[in-house]
Amino acid sequence: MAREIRTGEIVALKKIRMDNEKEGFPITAIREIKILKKLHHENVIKLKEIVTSPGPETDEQGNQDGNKFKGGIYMVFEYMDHDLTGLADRPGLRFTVPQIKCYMKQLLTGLHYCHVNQVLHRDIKGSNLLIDNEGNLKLADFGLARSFSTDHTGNLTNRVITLWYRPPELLLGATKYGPAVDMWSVGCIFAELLNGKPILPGKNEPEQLNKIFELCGSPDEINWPGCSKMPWYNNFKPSRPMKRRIREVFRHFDRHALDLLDSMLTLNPEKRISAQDALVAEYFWNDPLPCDPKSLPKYESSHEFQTKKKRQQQRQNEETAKRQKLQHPQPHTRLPPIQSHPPHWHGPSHPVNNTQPPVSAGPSHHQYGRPRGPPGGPNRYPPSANQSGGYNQTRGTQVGTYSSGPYPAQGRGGPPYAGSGGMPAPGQRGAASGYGVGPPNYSQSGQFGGSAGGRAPNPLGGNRNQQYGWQQ
Amino acid sequence: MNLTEDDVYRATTQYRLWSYSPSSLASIRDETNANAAKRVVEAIRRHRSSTATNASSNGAEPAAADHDSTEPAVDCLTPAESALLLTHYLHILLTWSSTRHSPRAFPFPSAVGATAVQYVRRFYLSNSPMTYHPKAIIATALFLATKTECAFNSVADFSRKLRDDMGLKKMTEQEVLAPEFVLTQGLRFTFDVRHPFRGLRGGLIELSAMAQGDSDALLLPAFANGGETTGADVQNEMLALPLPQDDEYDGPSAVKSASDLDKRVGAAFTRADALLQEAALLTDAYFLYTPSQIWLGAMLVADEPLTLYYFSTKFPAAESDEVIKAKKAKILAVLQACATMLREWEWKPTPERKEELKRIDKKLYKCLNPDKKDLVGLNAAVKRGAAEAGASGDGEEDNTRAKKKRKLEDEGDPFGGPLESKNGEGKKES
Repeated sequence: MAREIRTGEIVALKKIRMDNEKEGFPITAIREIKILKKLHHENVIKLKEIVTSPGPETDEQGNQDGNKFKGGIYMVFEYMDHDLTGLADRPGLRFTVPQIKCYMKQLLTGLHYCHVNQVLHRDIKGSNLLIDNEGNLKLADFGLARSFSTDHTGNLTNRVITLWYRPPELLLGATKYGPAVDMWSVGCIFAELLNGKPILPGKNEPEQLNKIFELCGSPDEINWPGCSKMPWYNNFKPSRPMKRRIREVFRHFDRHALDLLDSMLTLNPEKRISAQDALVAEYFWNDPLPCDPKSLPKYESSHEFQTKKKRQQQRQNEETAKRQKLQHPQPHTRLPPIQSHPPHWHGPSHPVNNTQPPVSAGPSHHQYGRPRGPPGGPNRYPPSANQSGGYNQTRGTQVGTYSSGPYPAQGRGGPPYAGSGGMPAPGQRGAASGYGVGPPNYSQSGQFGGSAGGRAPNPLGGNRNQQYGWQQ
Repeated sequence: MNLTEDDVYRATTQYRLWSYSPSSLASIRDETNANAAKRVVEAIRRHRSSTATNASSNGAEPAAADHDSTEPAVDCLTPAESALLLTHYLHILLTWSSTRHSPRAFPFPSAVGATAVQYVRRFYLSNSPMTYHPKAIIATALFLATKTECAFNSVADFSRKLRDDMGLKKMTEQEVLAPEFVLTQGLRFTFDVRHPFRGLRGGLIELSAMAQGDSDALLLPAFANGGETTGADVQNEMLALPLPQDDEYDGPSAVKSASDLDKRVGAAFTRADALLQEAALLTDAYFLYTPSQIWLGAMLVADEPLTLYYFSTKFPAAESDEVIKAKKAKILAVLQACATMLREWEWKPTPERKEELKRIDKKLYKCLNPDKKDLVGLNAAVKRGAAEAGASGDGEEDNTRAKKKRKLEDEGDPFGGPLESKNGEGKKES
C-alpha cells in the first residue's frame, strides 16, 4: 500500500520481480498489464499505472531511463478494502439476499465486459473478487487471464483456475475452450454464497471431477455431445452413471436462484449460460431485488499494517484455536445467508472437508496468519491458491517466482491450483514517477451498470507459477 | 452494454498514447534527436576528460577543459539519418520474424514481427539510435513480442536460432534480455498493438460474399434503408466496375462472371496484404492512421474502383444528404492520404543506399553514447544490486567497456553482425 503524494489517494502496489527471471520480464506480468490496460470498467480492477523505483536518468523525452533502475517495478492499483472470501468468512457476518444479488450482478457485469473484450479471466474465485467500502465489486488478478478470439486456432492450457472452481471440460483435458470456463467458476461462487461454504472442495483432480459428477450427474453423449472424445475422459469417466442432483441438494434455495445455478453448473460448456444471459435471469429481476452497492454495510477495513496489533492478537487466538481443534474438530463456521434455510447439505460424500480451523475474531480477510493444514489436508481452502496464508509478506508479493505454497502430492507433475496469493506490496513512498495512462472517460454504465468505483489497495494476488504462466 | 468498434479502439493505448499528427510526430523526433545529441556530446566529453585525467596525474578541471577544446567536435546523427538507419534495422527484424520474408526465419504468425516492429518504432520516438544502437534493440523487441503475442520461445531457443540461422554468431541470451527493461519502459508498458490484418480478412470475406451475390452479406446501411437492392444487384454493380488503371494490377483482365469477380477480389486482397506486411509497418502509418484506415488504404492501392464501391455501400444511398456527403469526403480524404503513403513506400537495396547506410553506421560509431554501449554490463550491474553498483562498479564497467572497445577495434568492423546480414539479404534478393 502506498499513498499518491499529489492526491493523497491510497493505492495498492504489486511488485514485479525482474532480477531472478531467467526469461526476462515475466510473461504473466506482461499479460496482466496488457489486458488491464485494455479494460476500463467499474467492475474490473483499475491498473492506475506502472511505477519504477526512482532512477535519476531520463530518456530523450524526459521519461525515466531503465538503466539506473534499482530493482523495483510496481503495478499500481486502486485500493480495495476487502475480498469476497474474506468478507464471507467473517465470523457472525451473514450476507443478505439483496446483497448476494448485488455482488453477483456486479460479478457478472464485470465478467461480461471481459468476455465482450475477448478476455478470459481464468481464475475466478472469491479471493480475486475485491470489494470496497462503497459496496463495489471488482474482478482482480488477471495474471492467468488471456485474450481469446473465436478464430484462435492454438491450444490453451487447461492448467488454469483454482481446483474447486475449475470446470469439468478443463479437468477432462480440453485445450480449446472459451468464456464458459469462467461461468462455471461463477456458478461455484454463487452456490458458495447461498450455501455458506464451498460446494466442490476436491483435494485433487480425480476427486474434483468425482464431486462434480456426484452433484451435476455424469457426462454422456446426450447431455454433453463429444464428451467421450475429451483427452482424459477414459481416465476419469465414472464407473456408474450418476444422476444430476443439483435441485435436490440445493432444494432449500429460492426457485429463481436454483434455476440460475442449474444453468451455470451445466456440464456441457456449449450449453452453459453466458454472463450476458445470466444478467437477465429471473433471479435478478424478482423480489428481493439486488440492493444498491452504496446501501451495503461498511465493514472495517483490514490490512496488514493498519492492524498489526490486532493481527498479533489474532495469531494468539488462532494458536489457541488450533490446539483446541486438535482435540475437538469443529464444524464449519461460515454462515449461510440470512433469509435462507440452514444448510442441509454436507457435501455429496466428503463431509470431512467441512471442518476447518475456526476463524478467529478480527479482520483477516487475507488470511494473514491463518494456520494451514498439511498439503491436501482438511483445509478451508485449497493450498497455494490465492491465500498467501501464514507466509511472510515479501514472499507473497513476488510475481513470477515459484509459489511457495505447499502443493498436494498428486499425479502428472503439476500443482493443480492456478496461481497463488499475494498481498499489497510493501509500501513505497510514491516518489517514483510513473507512466500511468489515465483511463479515458469511458462510461460503461448501460443496462447493468453498477456504481462508480471507490478507492482502495487491493490485496491483489501475486504469485504466479512462471512454470505454467507462459503456456497459452 | 453497447460498444461500437470505435469505442473499443478509442479505449486502446494505441489510440490514446501512440497516435499522432504528422507535425507532432516530426517535432517529437526532432526533440528526441536534439536531446540525445546534447547528451552524447556531454558523455563523450566526460569520457575524454576522465581518460585524460587518468593519463596525467594532475587531472585538474582546467586541464581537462583545455583538452576538450583540442578534441574534434562530435558529429551527431540528423533525424533523417536516424530514420534511415532505423528502417534498415526494422527491415532486418522483419526478415527474421516470418518465413514469408525469409525461409530461415522464425515461423511466427505475422502479428509477432509486426508487433516487434511497432515496439521498436515506438521506442525510438523517445530514444535515439545514438543512445541505444538499433542492433541491440531489435532482437529484444522480437523476443518481447513473442511474449505479448502468444508465441513464446525460451530465451535459450530464441538466441540459438539467431545464432544459427540469422548470422548473429555471437548473440547471447544476456544480449537478448539486457535491453528488455529499457524497452518496456520506453513503451510505457503498453504492449497491445492493433494491427490491420484481421480487418483486411474481414473485408475479404465480405467482398467475396458480395461477389457471390449473397444477400446475407448486405447488412449495410445502403441496402438496409431501401431494402430494394438484392444480392444479384450488388453482383451486377460489381461486375460493371472499371478495372484499376495501374500496372501492378494482376487480377483478371476482363471481369465477366462471378468467378472472375472472385479472382479480382482475391488479387486485391493479396496485394493489400503484402502492403500491410511491409509498407504499413515500415512507414509511419500506425502512428497516423487507425487499423481500419490502414487496411482500406491498402485496398485503395490494390484496387481502387472495387474499394470505392465497397466504401460507398457503407453509407445510406441518399446521395443528396449533405451531411453524409461531407462525412464520406472526409473519410475518403484520410483513406487516400494513407493509400499514398503506402503506395510511395519502397525499400530496395540500391548501391547508393548501401553506401549511405555504411556511412551512417560509421558515423554512429563515433557518436554512440559511451554510457550506454555496454547494455549487458549495465543490466548485470542492476542485478548485482543498488548498493554495489556505486563507486566501485563504475570503474569496473569502464574497464570492461574499454576492453570490449579494443577488441572491437581489433576486429575492424565493429558492426559486423547486422551488416553481414544486410549483405546476406542483398544477395538473396539479387
